[in-house]
Amino acid sequence: MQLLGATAIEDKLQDGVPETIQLLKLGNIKVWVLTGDKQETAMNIGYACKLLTDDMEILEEKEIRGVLSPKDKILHTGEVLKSGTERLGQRLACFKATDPQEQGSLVEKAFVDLATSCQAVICCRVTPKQKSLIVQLVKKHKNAVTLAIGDGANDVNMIKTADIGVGISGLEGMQAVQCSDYALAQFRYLQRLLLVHGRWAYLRICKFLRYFFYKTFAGLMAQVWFAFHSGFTAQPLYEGWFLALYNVFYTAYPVLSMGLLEQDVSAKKSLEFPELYVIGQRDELFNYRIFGVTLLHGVSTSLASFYIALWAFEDRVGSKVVGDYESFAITVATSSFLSTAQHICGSGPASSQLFFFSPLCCAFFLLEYHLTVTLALTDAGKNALTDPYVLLIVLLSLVVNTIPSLTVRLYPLMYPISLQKIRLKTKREPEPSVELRAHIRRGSFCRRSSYAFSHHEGYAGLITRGDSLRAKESVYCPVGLFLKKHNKTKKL
Amino acid sequence: MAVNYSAKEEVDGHPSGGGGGVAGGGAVGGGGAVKTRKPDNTAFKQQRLPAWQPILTAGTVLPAFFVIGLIFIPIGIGIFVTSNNIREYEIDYTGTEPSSPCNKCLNVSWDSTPPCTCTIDFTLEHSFESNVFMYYGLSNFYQNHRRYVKSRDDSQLNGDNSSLLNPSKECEPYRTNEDKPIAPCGAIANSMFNDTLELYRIDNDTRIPITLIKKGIAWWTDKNVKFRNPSGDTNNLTALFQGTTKPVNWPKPVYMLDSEPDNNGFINEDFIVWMRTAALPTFRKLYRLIERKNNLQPTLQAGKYSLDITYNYPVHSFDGRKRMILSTISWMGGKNPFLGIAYITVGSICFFLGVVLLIIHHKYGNRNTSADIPN
Repeated sequence: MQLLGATAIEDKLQDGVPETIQLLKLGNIKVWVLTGDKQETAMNIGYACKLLTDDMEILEEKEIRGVLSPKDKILHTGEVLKSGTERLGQRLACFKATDPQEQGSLVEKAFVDLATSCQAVICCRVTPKQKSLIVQLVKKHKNAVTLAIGDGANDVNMIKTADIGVGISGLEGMQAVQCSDYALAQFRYLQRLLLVHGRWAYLRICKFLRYFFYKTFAGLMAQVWFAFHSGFTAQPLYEGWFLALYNVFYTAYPVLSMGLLEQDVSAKKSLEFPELYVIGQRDELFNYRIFGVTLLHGVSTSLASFYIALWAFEDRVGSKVVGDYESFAITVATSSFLSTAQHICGSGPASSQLFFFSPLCCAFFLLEYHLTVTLALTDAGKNALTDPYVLLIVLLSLVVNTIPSLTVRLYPLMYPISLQKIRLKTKREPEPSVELRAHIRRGSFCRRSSYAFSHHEGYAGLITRGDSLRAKESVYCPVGLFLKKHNKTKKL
Repeated sequence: MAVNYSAKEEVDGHPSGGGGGVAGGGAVGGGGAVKTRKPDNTAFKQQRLPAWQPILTAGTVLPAFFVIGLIFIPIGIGIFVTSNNIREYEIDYTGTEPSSPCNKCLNVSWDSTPPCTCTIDFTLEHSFESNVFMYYGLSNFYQNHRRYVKSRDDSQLNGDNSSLLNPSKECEPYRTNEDKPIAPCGAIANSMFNDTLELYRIDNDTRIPITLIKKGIAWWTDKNVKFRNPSGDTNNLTALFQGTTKPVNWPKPVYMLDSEPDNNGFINEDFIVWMRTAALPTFRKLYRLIERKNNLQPTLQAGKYSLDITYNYPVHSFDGRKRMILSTISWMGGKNPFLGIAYITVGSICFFLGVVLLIIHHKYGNRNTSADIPN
């Protein structure tokens, strides 16, 4: 046989893949790789993208079968896996995916438990249907949110099965993008999607919910307390227009701008500290306890606003105010509204310039409204809000509603947790805005690790050292030598 | 796809060889034949709006506590002292106790003739210096009842002639009486307070009447804007109210409330004061003013006084109580020590909290001032 030539197909990893995977792992996100390649290729890719490191212990197919198949061991799945997880750096590789339904759900559970106790999982020789089945397996046995990211038509199944499907638009066509929830241009944008925007979205939704419940209770529970004093006849305390416009107009803008623009740390710091992502995984920003606290806070605000006004009014009169129903209503409305507006101003950290003015805007509109002449409220608003006694009542309510929340928030500052430390540090060193730039420019010689060989790892070091690329005269061509030496070349 | 890969330099992304290039993003240079779908690099769309983060540190919050404490305590003291200087005297004349002079009038009905009268003697310990306001107060009277509050016709009270003869449905069941429309309609008007109170000073067994001024007790806008008599000759109100009848429980029709034309009809100030519904079941309403005659004498000297009551208004059936209150007024209104005490309390609590937090911060806060982030 005469050697005519050699071909090699290069399928480089994208930029930033190892860094992205590192960040995701730091954010307590388990990364599984499902590929249709064969085992050696998959392992090499795993090494190349830093999913696997040399100090990891690799469980291959036969070892896994040994753990899972004996019937008596399955029944004691818990104990088996406990001993398994004590080994550090364990990772699972290349379990040839057979149809899980053959083995029954106990084996499924055992497999999922074993897999999730490992640092990384690589499944090779996976067909598209099996990719989707693996995602279903994880969803069924683990109470976790799954995200599938892929760029080819063979990833469509798993993208559609997972909770979140991300498609990468690229060489392989647009099928992945068309069926996905999010479309990215490169894999590395995933870190920004999850750690920056995903985290911000969770934060915004939680804060929005908390504030929405708070403002409803703080503003409108006063009518319930008034019922105790009006003979339970359902006489509203607030005037009709105030009730109608409260949610639509007065408190809409702060709530919306908090829900749209809130950022607790900047994008750059979010990427620097992927540990912050764990907050969302543990439901720390909105759970039953926080809901209860919000409810309590709202109720206590309304109690303070109403009863301070009540006891200050009693049946005494102000100099202009005569203790009548409309003046009382305006007093309570103003104090509760200003308390809720102040709360969002003080509790919502990131306030843009637009947002900062919103409580003032709302207060202005409230004032304007009360000053306009409607027949029902002729002069009552102006009378009440220019009376010094009423203004003192409002000020007292405002302070009484602010002090407890301020104290509660100040106390942890004595022992700052990591989030506050990060923000304190950020405050001291303001940073410029972030734009996503490529990490490395193409054409430089410092990229080494994108190469994965279909064969054993042995010669990768030779190539990646870069000697061949730097030497000007070199007859020695490792690639050709490699191919020449081994007659059978395994297909990719 | 190969067309886009002519190795043009993009702004920030590079056409990756391994798939996932900026194929969707389009080419930036070269004639702009392909429309770029890159989002605008504006501050709003890239979420880079200038932000102001009120990060609470001990250094910003603790001074606020102290400042609030230091401001509130003097304000509280000021209000409390002002309230203490207000003179107030209250007489409950419902007459439920057998020893009360008004006990005989306890079960009077609204239309009893002749009207029941009683007299209560009292003594003022201190003199009242500035203008004295005379109020009548009611208890257990729910002027904030929902059906009661609705039961009025504001356009009729504003002098609208069509509403005068055709009152609104809200006034039911006090809308018409014997097929004639009631003016003023509604339960609020119907239950107007109609006791008459007169004050006499007792000076060596002579009763000196004290001048009670009945004008100027209602809000200016109420008297001049909200409440208007029907248009026409103001001197002949009887004709203006032709075709209407008095409210059911009134002794006299509305155009006979007072002899003076500018205090008669709907613009009668007692009526206006009554129509401004109170917020709470225990309330007081301004009845008369006692003005200071000259700067040498107090308005009401300390001594014996006598109150003559024409007891027309029955309250015993619903366990209500009636009282007469004499009070001076300050910038903050009537005598109410609550706000002063509340301000002092809140100010002291703030100050105390500030001190406590300062101590905690000094003991434990210093070791955490360096923000070393665990990694």
